[in-house]
Amino acid sequence: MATFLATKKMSPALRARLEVSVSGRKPGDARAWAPSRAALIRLAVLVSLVVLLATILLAKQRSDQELAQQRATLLERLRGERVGLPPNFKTLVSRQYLWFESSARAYAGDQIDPSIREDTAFSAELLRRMLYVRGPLESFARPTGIAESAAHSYRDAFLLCLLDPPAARSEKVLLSRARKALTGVEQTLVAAHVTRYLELLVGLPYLLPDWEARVQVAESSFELEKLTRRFDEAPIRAAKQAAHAELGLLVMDEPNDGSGPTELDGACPHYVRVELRELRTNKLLLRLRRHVDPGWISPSIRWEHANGINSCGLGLDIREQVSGSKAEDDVK
Amino acid sequence: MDDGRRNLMTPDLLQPAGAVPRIDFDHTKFALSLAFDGAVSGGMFSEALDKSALPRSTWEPSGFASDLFVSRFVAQCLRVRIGGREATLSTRHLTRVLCQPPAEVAIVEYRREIIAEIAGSNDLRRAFEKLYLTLCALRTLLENAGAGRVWDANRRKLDILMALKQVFQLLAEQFPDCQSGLGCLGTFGAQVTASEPYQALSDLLNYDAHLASLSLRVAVGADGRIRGFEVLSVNENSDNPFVNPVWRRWLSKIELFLRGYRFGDGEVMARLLDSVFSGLEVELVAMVQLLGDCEFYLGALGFKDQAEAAGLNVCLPKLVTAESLRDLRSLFNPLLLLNGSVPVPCDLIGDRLTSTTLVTGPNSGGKTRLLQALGLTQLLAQSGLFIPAREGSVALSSGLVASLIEQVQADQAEGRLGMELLRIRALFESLPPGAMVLLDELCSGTNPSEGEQIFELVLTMLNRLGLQVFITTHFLAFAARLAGSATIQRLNFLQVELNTDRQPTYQFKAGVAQTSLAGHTAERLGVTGDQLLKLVEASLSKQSRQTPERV
Repeated sequence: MATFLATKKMSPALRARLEVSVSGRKPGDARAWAPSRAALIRLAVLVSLVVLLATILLAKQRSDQELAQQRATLLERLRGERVGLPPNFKTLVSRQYLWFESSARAYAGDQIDPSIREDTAFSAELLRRMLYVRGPLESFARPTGIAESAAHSYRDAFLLCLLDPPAARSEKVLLSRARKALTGVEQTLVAAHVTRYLELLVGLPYLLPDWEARVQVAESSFELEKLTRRFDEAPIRAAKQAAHAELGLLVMDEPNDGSGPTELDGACPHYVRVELRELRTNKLLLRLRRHVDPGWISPSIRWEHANGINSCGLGLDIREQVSGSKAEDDVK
Repeated sequence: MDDGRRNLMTPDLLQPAGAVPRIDFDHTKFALSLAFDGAVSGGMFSEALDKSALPRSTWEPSGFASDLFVSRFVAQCLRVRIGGREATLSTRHLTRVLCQPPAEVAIVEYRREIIAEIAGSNDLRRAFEKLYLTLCALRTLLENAGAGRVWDANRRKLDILMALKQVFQLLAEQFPDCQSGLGCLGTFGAQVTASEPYQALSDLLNYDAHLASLSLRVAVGADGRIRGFEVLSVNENSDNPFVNPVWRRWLSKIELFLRGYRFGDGEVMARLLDSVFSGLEVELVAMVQLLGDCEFYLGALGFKDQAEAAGLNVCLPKLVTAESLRDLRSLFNPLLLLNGSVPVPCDLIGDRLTSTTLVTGPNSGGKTRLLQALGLTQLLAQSGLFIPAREGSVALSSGLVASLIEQVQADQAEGRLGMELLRIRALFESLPPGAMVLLDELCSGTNPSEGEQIFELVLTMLNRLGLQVFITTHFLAFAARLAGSATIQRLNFLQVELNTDRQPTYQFKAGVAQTSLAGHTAERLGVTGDQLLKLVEASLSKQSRQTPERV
């Protein structure tokens, strides 16, 4: 039996002796080819180890392939979702943060762009795709506050009355609008082009490079599955829609000014800042500050609808301030 | 015979080449394999030598060894001192060799030529001593004589192989031109160094010492310190047959692991070492035998040195026929060297060798010492070694019987005379013609008149066998009568020579002594009438002082 210890340069006699030394048996020995028990055991152990190692390697290879496939699929979906996004989508949120943060500082004074002075022009402007967020003034000074405000912002009575102002300013009319705003039916008709800022805030991160990097570095199939699940559940479509918004409407409620009590629904006398900007150019179209006070509302409905009535009234105020027209007062 | 023995002549310095190895080949080979593998093997060489066969001998050691103190002679006279250090010899083996001298004259001549050649050339003797020292080093390594734990078994094996290679080189280089039997060493060395196993041995040692060579460039700073070095090239000794590529080395390790060995470079080296060693086992067995042979000759040279240091001379005697005349000049008893005294040499010249010589003389005159000297001389001459005489001639004898000391055994069945008679009977039962007989004070254990009759009978019978006989006796009247009557053929008489003060000179001359000078000896030892009387009076006086007076 040849041995790896022998070389071609060795003499045949030396090779023969070397083989005897290695096998432990003489050439004429009938058992020369029979492996020893120790050799068999070691061979079995080695083969087992090799098989085990190969199995592990194959399993790992398969797992790696599956992981790569899973990753590629997710990345492909991600990149597919990015198609059609505006070029500046990566900095969209940060730019809006800057806007909110600067607006939350000392009020810079009312301002209305001349291009929207006409009621028809303003109405046309308000039909463009729009992002909407409303919250307490102090919340806009920090990112977490902005996120909280975005989470609590809905297409409310203010938005409804701004887009579709009622013909009269009577309590009854405003109450009617406030109730419609609560049901949500009206918004689907009037404010369908308005997207909550929250949609952008929640959905857009799934399309950003940071999230793509997380997908790239995910080390296990389990982790990728988790990412995929989150991607599936994320409001990607709404976020994309929000990313395409042309206007941004920001409403900041200043704190109670102390001239009256706070109602059960949270309404109180306070100032409200309203800003409308063209997002692409960052052009300020409108900045107004108005005082709202639920004191005039009948006590029987104030505890429940003061906020909605006041908000609707604020929407009417803004329309009136821009166009200079005035809705009919009907106290009843 | 083992197939691995090959057609290789085993160098034999105790008998001419061509004979089969004297050592037990298979047993020794097996023992050497175990020793190489690190098994306990102390005394392996001695054991192998003790069991080795010797050339045919007609001598029976029990007939003379104890009477001539051969073991003591070997231990203390055949000493080997090299470079100021004394070697430890296998004395039992040497005693065996000495006590069984070869029966064939050719073998005796063979040994005489070897010892003469070594003694005749200082260079050759130095080479022979170096060979012996290297063999001793090999023995030490194999037997692990240091009894230390071997931490690196491969290193030890490499050391053994290095020593073995050195032995073969010495044989091939130092003894090719020898004229005597030493020439077989050169022939053997040449045979081995030209063989494949030796080439493998050289290659393996070269592989161990020189696997690869690195060329370095060393940078030295202004302060003389080494700042760094750069490897310029690495050259693997690819011509060496043991050099394997790296991948094959790894496969070798895996292969060995699968075969049941340990995984590692050490195991690979161990297999290589074993394969080389197994090719040289035959030669190594021969080295065990050679070690014993070396001790035989170096011991003889040591005896020569010891005698010359004492101002005495030794020689290789002329070998003559038994009919020749006795001629031993400046003969001395080497046993006297053992107690530090310088022996007085004497000459024995004139009588025919095959004759009976009665030695008479005073007590402590040197008669027994003479018989010991004659016995050892015959023994050494018969073994082909130097005899304790300046010059002389010796006839080879067929045996030796010496009865020089009389020890009383606790369980002996007979009295002193009975034991002596039994010894005489045994002598005639086993004594071959042409042997040498040394008897001290024959028949001294009975009354002289009856003892003389037995004495005369023994003399007559010994004479018929044609022996060399030396007998000491104090039966002076009897000896004088025999000298005067000449009734027994070839009977000679030697007497201790006395000086003018009637003191023995330890020389011997023809004739029968007139007196044993027992009175002188008694006087010297304090056994005269006056001296004994003083002792008796002193004893009585002491007793009277110790006995209380009665009132």
